[in-house]
Amino acid sequence: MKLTNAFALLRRDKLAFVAAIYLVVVVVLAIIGPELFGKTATAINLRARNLPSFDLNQGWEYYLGSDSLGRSVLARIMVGARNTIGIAFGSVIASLCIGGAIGIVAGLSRGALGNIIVRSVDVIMSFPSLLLALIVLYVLGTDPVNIIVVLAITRLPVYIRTARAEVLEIRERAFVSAARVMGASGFHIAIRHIVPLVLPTLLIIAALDFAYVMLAESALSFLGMGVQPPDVTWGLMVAEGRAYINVAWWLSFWPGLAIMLTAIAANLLASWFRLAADPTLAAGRKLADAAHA
Amino acid sequence: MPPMLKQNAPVLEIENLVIDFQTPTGLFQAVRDISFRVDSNESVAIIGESGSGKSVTANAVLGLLDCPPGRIKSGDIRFRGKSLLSMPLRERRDLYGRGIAMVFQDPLTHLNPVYPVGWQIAEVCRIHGMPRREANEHALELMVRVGIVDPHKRFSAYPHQFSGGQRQRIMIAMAMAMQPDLLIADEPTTALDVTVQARILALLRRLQSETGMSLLMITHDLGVAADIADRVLVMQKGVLVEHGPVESVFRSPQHPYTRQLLTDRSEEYRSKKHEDGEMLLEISNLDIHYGAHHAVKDVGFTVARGEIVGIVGESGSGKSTVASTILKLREPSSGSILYRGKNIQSLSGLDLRGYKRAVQAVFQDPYSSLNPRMNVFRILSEAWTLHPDVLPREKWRARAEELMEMVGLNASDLEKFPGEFSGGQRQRIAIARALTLNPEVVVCDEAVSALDMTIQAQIITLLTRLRRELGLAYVFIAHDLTLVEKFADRVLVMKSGEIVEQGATADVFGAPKDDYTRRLIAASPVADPKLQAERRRTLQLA
Repeated sequence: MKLTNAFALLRRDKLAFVAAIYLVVVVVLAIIGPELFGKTATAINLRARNLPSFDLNQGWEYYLGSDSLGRSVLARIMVGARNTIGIAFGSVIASLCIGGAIGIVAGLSRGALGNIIVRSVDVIMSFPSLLLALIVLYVLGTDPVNIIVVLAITRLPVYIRTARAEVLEIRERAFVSAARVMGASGFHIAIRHIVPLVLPTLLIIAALDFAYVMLAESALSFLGMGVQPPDVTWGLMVAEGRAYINVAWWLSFWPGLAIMLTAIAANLLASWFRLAADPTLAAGRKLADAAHA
Repeated sequence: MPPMLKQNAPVLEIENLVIDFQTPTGLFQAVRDISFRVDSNESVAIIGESGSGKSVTANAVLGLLDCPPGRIKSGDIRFRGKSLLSMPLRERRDLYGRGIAMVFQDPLTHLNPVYPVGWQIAEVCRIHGMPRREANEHALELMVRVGIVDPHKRFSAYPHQFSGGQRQRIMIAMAMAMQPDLLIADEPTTALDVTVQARILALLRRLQSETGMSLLMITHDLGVAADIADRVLVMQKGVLVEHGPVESVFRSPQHPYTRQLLTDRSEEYRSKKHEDGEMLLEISNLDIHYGAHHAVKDVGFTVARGEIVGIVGESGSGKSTVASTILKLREPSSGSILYRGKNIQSLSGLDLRGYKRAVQAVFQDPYSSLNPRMNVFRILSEAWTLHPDVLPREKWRARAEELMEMVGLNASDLEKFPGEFSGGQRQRIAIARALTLNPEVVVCDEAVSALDMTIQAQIITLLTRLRRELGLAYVFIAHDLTLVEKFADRVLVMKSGEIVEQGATADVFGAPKDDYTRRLIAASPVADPKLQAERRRTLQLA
């Protein structure tokens, strides 16, 4: 019942609908891409070196061009989706959950704990995140899981600070007092009253962060501390293509476009979700306007 | 123009004014074909509830309407015979401040926090071409005139360093800077305490008699209108339903809406208290500190079953602090609150859960007291999830429906979200939530202060009925004395943390012993122009 409602709502917002379709395609590619196109992506075809885009003579897989080893850009993008989306999604979800939880705790605690958390966040924020990532990855090795952890840590402060600021305002509202009067515990208040009100904001930040994390991951790849070849991510492709940008623009352009479209789609869907999930905006529109006038 | 005619020319004329607002759900007509005039040296009050279009009208005069979504569809606004709507913007801008000035409700948001107040008053003069030095001198003079003590020192102080009443004086000084012919005051005393309100109204009256300006006052408070106006206009839903001299409108209102506003509800509000009331709460020697600030000093009173205890006092008197201590939202520094003979600070386990059930709260702001993301059913059933032994889950819906009907809402509203209700309806939901655990005491912290007069009357009537039916006791905190006088059995008067007087309502209001109580009663205006004028005279003599 609720799901069909959400789908109908999504259909009504054309932009968000297109974004959702795009993201579904990307996710499907991330799941089955390497199995279907793994061979194509790593196949070296010396007769098809440095093919420009929009050339169908060598077959469909070279439609977006090929690199200096004759590997298909299209196939590499489709295969790279898994690592790219996996790392970005993993680190965004990790920092959203952990950062959100810490931020809510910091906002609700009236004692020293809140201050300690805020100061620690300041420390993380003032430390150059790329440097931190390089050190950690150098010590621990460039495993995808390590990359996820490092990227999540560098993005934690945003979630902690936002969640805390929101909680500080929400906890003073009368419905929180009313719940406390009824004998609600801090945990009950956090789950029932605080999380539903903080989550939409955090989701918006997460959607914006999605793009940021993909780019940060490519920066790490560029510095040789990210995903290692022959594995591939979109960011790595952009970085590799940089050397040939004036002779073979397609090497960087297509993976770059994929990153951009994914980021935009995530943002569109997030802002649609914010509207759809907010009962005061969906149903109360009529009354709210009458009250304003 | 012959001089005679010019003298009688009205300062402000509004003719067949229609203002529309474009909303996603269609056109909303905020002001529907209203006409009135303000003559020179006259005070006119527009009375109305929220959404009546009174502020929209005032904003239209000053060109403060947001266009779009607002739009002046037809009609005209004339100042001294010249149409403001067809006047070039430059000329109009020149008129604002010099010819027409405005005082707003909330002086804190209308004063710039980063400039000293003297600078801000002088700014008005500078905008209208006065040299800097002269403007500063004039600003000082104005501060003296509006009654700021020690103006030389206060000239370079910032808005946050002033109290609410002083800030309103500064706003008035800014408005008076260019000697306007018309001063529009939009709820200028609504955010202020009654004693401060009385002084601000006196100031406005004095300035008016000194300068001969006209005053257009917008208010929802009948007492304020009765106090200051020569003529009143009553607006409802954008329509001017009644207008006339203040005496005749208050004595013999013609329109049913005006009559409804002026109905004396004393009988309706009064309800008999149960005689055999056992003692529920005994508060003694309560002291509360906020850091160095001593917020509540040695407060003691009792609440019996089925009793309404009113707490009145001005802002900062500590009345809300007492309420939150009873609700266990705050710990007292010393003193005790006994519930059925047991100290609530040392309650634990079952006793504590019992206390949390017995004492419930209704708060002031109907917009923040309900979680906007929970529907009404979830809001009501939350209490039962916390106290599962009160009601088995399968009975939740039936009980929720019953509660909704008890507070005068429909059972079908249970699936709706708070955003779909008006302020009064939200307060009804908050009351229903307070009833979910079958409480004995409901603490109402300014529970009706944010509501319109007619809604307020409905809520008070509801509370009265609930007490009769359920034998509830209320701790009713309010700054509105007339309301407490009608509603409460016993009343406490608080001033800077102390109870200066307490006793049966009739005794305290009939024969106040304390000087502060007397001043408080004298300062709260009554909705009767004649009586109010008399009270004012005695107040001035005193």
